[in-house]
Amino acid sequence: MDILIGVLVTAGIVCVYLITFLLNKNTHSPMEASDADPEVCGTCANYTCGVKQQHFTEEVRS
Amino acid sequence: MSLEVFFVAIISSMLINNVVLMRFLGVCPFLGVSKKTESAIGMSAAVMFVMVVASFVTYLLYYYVLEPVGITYISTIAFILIIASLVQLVEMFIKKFSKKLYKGLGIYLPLIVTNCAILGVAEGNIAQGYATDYGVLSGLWVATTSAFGAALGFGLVMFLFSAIRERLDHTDVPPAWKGLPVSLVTAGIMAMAFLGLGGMV
Repeated sequence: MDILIGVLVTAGIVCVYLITFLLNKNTHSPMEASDADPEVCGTCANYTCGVKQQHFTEEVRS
Repeated sequence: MSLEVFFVAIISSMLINNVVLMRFLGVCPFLGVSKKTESAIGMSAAVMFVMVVASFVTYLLYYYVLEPVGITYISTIAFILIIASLVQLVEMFIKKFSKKLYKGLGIYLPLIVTNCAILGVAEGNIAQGYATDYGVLSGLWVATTSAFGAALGFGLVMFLFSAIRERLDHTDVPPAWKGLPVSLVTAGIMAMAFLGLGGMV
């Protein structure tokens, strides 16, 4: 009996998760949130930059 | 129950038992999303919401469903699913209302599910035995207040650390220390500073 209740409770919570997942999936991501074009972007070589991360290179002592 | 209990719960979980610097939980977003203050504040707000609501819901689920039925062995699975559901809601909200923040948080937003600080606080509230000390219903408010304090502590260290990292970006750091090494040293010094608050309450 305990196992059955455990399964039912887990199934209920899984259902809640699936509903929120489907709601989130059906919410379209905004156009502005797409990655900026690295060719057009003219940011500096700053290591905090999320667009041109490859521009920042740490100097390694040999 | 006096207000002192709530005050002690907030100060204790925010400063003395800080979830990141004292308990070393949630270090992944602490290091990953602290490059810019704006992203750090957004991540902190998302984690704060999920942490407080998750603590509230998991406490109710544990003491009103899992324990009376005798199925506390599924508590961890149930807690993770509840946290995952809340993260889906937060992601949906941010996606709709803050496009810039959605871009800034990137992969770290869905990864809040795997933020062990949230599960740690939810499990910690059960392990602390607030229900035994204050009764189940009063314990709920103490547990939620404690979770709110932990969330504030997370937000505080995220903000401080991101501000320090932004300043470090403009300082003349030796090449070998640039980037992550100096950030890790900074985090260590911050942890030592927070250690000094031990014994305050």
